[in-house]
Order: sequence, then C-alpha cells, then structure tokens
Amino acid sequence: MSALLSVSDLCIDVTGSDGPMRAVSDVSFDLAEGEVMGLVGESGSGKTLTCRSVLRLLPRKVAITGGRIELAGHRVTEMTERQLATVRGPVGAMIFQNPTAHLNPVMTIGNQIAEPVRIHEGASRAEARARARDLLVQVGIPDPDSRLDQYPHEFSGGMRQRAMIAAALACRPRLLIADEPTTALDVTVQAQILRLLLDLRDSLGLAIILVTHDLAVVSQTCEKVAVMYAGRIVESGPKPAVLGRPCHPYTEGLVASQPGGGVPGTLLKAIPGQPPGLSDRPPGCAFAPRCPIARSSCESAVPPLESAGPAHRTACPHWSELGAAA
Amino acid sequence: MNRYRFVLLRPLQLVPVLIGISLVSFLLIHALPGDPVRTLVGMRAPPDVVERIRAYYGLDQPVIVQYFYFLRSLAEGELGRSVVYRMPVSDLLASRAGPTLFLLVYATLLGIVLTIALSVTAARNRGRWPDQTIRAFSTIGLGFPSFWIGLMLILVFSVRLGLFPVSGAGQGFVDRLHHLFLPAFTIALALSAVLTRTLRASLIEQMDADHVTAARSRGVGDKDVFWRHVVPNSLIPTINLLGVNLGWLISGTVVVETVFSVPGLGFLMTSSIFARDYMTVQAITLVFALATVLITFLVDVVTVALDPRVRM
Ligand SMILES: Nc1ncnc2c1ncn2[C@@H]1O[C@H](COP(=O)(O)OP(=O)(O)OP(=O)(O)O)[C@@H](O)[C@H]1O
Ligand SMILES: [Mg+2]
Repeated sequence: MSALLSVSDLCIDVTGSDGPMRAVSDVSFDLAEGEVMGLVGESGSGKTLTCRSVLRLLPRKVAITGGRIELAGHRVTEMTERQLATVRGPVGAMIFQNPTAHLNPVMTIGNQIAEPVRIHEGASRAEARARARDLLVQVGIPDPDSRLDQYPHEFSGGMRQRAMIAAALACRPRLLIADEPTTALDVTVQAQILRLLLDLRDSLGLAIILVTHDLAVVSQTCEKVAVMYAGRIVESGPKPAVLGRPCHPYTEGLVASQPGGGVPGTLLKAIPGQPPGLSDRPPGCAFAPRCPIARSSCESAVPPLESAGPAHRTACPHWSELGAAA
Repeated sequence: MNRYRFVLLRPLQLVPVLIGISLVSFLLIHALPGDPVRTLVGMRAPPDVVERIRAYYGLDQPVIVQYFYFLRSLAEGELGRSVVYRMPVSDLLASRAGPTLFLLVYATLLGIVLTIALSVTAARNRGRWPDQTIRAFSTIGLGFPSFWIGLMLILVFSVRLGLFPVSGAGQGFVDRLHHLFLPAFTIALALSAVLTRTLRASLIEQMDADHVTAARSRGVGDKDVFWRHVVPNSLIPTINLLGVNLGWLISGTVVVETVFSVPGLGFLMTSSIFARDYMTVQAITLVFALATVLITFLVDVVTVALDPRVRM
C-alpha cells in the first residue's frame, strides 16, 4: 500500500532576533489511507510546526528549509500558494486546538462551512448550504437548520469544535490534521469529540494525524505513534509496541508519568528537568541531560534512528538496556 | 432581530442629553462678555431705544426666565430671531445647512475611500516602502492643523493651478462637488490620517489571526481571505473610531468653512460669535450637538450590523 502522506527529512527554521534557529530537524514519517497517527511530545517539541507544514500553514518567520512532503501525489513542498489552495480542503484539512479563535466571529457558521464548497466545487449558494446542513448533522449538531445561521459566539466550546470539524470536512479531504483538538474542551466533551473523529475515520476512510499531550488518548485512538523531542522524532512505530514496550528513555518517561495506567495510590514519576530551548539544543542527543541511562558518548553526536522491532524505530542506541533499568 | 431594539429605545434616553445640551449652550453664550443690543444699535443710540430693543428680544428678563423662554420656543420649533440678520434663526439655519451637510457627507465619503485605499495598500505591503510612506503620511497628517493644509491647497490648486474655486459652495450637484472638493479633501485628509493608523494595525493583526489561518487551511485563497475575513473583522474598531472622530469632524467644518468661505453653518457660527448674535450661536450649537448625537447613534447601528456579538 503506497502512503497517502510521506514526510521525509523535514527541517523547519524559525527566524528570531539573532538569525534563524532550527526548530524541527530531519523529521520523517508515512501515513497510509485511513490510518490514525498520534504525534506526542512535550510543549515546544515541534508538533504544531511539523503538522502545519503538511499543508504549508506555517506562521510568518517560520519556514521549511529542507526535506520533502508528498500528499496524495502532490509535492506540497514545491507548490505555489495558489496551487496549495487547491490541495487545502479537498485533499488535506486541519482542525485546531482553540475553536473559538479559529472561527471567524462575524461570519455565520453555515457560511464558514459552505465557503470551501463554493470555492472548490463551484457549488451554488443553495447547494453549498445544503451540504453545510448535512455536515452539521454528520458531526452531531442538533437542530442544524437554525444553527446554520448562528454565529460562533452562540455555540458552546464543544459545538464550535464540531462546527470546525464540519468546515474542515466540507470538501471530503483524505487527511485530517487535528492539532490538540480537545485540549481546550471539558473532559466529557473531549471524549465525545474523539469518538466523533474515530466515527468519521470509519465512515469516510479519513487518515488522521492527532497531535496530543495525552498518551491515554493515543492508546484509545491511534494505530501508530511518533514521539517528538526537541524538534526530532525520537521514537515511532505501532502503538502497542511504542506504548507497551518503549524503546526510548523519553517515551518510557512519558508512559511512566501518565495517570491512570499505574496502580492507584502510587506516585506519578515526572521526568526531571526541562527540554532545551531552541537556542541551547546540545550537539548530541537532546534528551541526554535528563536521561537516566545517558553516557558521555550520547553528548557528542545526534544518534540516528535505528530499528527496534517491526516498523518500530528509536533514536536511542542503548534502547536494549531499557525495561531492565526500569 | 431584537439586537436592533435599541433603535427604538435610544431616542427616549436622549431626552436628558438634549436638555443638558440646551442648558450648556444657553449658559455658555451668556457667560460671554459684550452686549448684543449695543452691538446691534451702536454705542450712541439713545437709552430708551436700547431698552425697547432689549425688551423686544426678551433680553431684559432674568437669565433663568430667558432660558425657559428659550426652551418654550424650542418646543414650538422656534429658535428665536437673529439680531444681526433680522430674521428667524430657523430660516437662517435652513438657508445655511445645505452646504454644511453636503460638505460633511462629501468629506466623510472621501475620508473613508482614502482610509481604505491607504490602509489596504500599507497592510498588503507591510514593512516595504508603500507601507512606510503611508505611515509617514499619517504621522505627518496628524501634526498639521487643517486650516494650514486648507490654505496650502487653496494656494496650489486654486491660485496657482486654477483648478478649483477659492470660495463659495456652488449651485447644483456637480458644481457643488467641484466647489467643495478642496474643503472636503482637507477634512478627509485629517480624518484618514487618524483612521489609517487604526485600520492598518487591525488589518495586519487580522491577517495573522487564527481564524484566518483556519480559512486558509480550507483552501480559501488570498483575495477571498482578505476581503471576506480580514477586512470585515478589521472594520469594527475603525468604525468606532470614525464615530468618535465624526463629532470632531463637525467642529472641523467650522474651521474649514471659514478658511474656504463656504456659506454654511460653521462659517455662520464664527461670524455670529464675533457679532454676539446669541440666538444664532445657540441654535447652531444645538444643531451641532444634535448632529453629533445622531451620528453616534448611526455608528452604533452600523456597529451592530457589522458585529453580531455586539448588543446595545
Ligand atoms: N511563530 C513562531 N515564531 C517563533 N518561534 C516559534 C513559532 N512557532 C513555534 N515556535 C517555536 O518552535 C518550537 C516548536 O513549536 P511548536 O509550536 O511546534 O511546539 P508544540 O510541540 O506544538 O508545542 P505545544 O505542545 O505547546 O503546542 C518552539 O520552541 C516554539 O517556541
Ligand atoms: Mg502545538
């Protein structure tokens, strides 16, 4: 099966006051049609920049400086802004962490959902509105006829996220990028939105990149996982392997620090220390200063990814010592 | 639709405001030194003539009584008589309101067009020379008084180039557009200097807004993003500022009409102040205050129409 999305050796630079700094380095991953991949890692590890670059939606002063992205046969990294506009929507679409800020406050929900349909399919006003109505039903918004003409401020947080999903799906994309879609929502609503995403995956055959901090979410929803640390993927592979038998000390630390998995009453083990900032990333393994099994050789060169099992890759050369150490 | 209910309620809330305005304008003019009757008849008129004229205009009564006379006649739509023009003030104002109204609308429209053109150009070329030029223009524009700009425009376009008349308001629509272009342009320049800063800043802020990124993520192209998402959201703060500045704009017509000798209310205002024509000054003050209130109200209506989140 050929991949729907293929990212290889992606590098992203951020231009600060003292020149460009590398924010994301040599990131590679593939995603098949209908597959759900979790992208996890601490704050600042580069998850948002990585997934936004798939649709080339990077902010000002942030640029892709290396690597290739291919989405359903489109060479995203080489396209002009005009060409990108034809890919965004019908091929790949995105939903965001904060639905309130990501909806236009002065445009009706119906118009925001209908807009891409009119642009990409040249649909009439009435056709696009009918599609918008169907989409509201599909994402579980009750009373769609009156909801179409309402504005975002008349929706609850969960309903806004549903509306944003409807707008993203309006042109039937094959890939949905979901950047922390539930972080800003109530716990009960979080579960509903995740359920909705999985239902949509099943009914539409949608591939999903799900960015999250929450390993519990990954274990409930994803088939594979990529773990990012300081701008690199440090471990990736099938979910059961990565979460069940982590082969990188950082992943192991993340798993150990998750609530719920452990025995009630035991303390959560937080990873000591902080990830390095953009300007003080070490020359070797960026995790070495916090790593329980680090040795001096770890600090000299960035360790390459190596195989730790079927489709399972890790950037720790000492992965075979894990498990025993824990 | 009940977001628009304030359209019906607002006039009721305005009654105390109007009473306040009338009181202030009445008292202000009476605080001024100088005797209007003496101005009218001259210093050498016999005392009994002076007293008769004083009584005729009600100026021999105590101030508070004069105020109630004033209110009563206001209620009857009667604004008193002008001691200078010897005619009812209402007729006098009616004959002068046309040019001022025309000038105000003309200047506002020119100002809006200028503001949008400048801000859009600046925002779409952020940091490059068109942006820097326009920012310099708005900073400099804020610093120059409009009477000076008006005089310079007269000097260049009327005196040197002979493109526009030096004074007057013209007859008929096209002639009026021609006559009032320079005065309207003077006001529009000042207005757009203020508004361009705000609109440019909001446009730039909105171009980076999250909802704009989201629209782009659905394949909405640059042009549609700009006109359908960026501009409508940017107009809201600018409309509010326009509302504040339109009040100032009305007083601006006083200066500009005087510089350009436009026979409007502003020009009448200055000449009436010098002539101590109490009734006329009072009436114009009232009309200007009323117009300010009305414009603020209109701006509220526009704001509610533009921003579904707003309730008045
Ligand atoms: N617009 C920007 N300008 C400058 N630096 C940026 C910008 N966006 C991201 N960065 C930097 O790039 C790095 C990666 O950021 P990114 O937003 O991808 O992290 P993240 O993994 O999504 O974090 P979080 O979990 O907090 O969302 C961070 O160090 C961040 O400070
Ligand atoms: Mg992020």
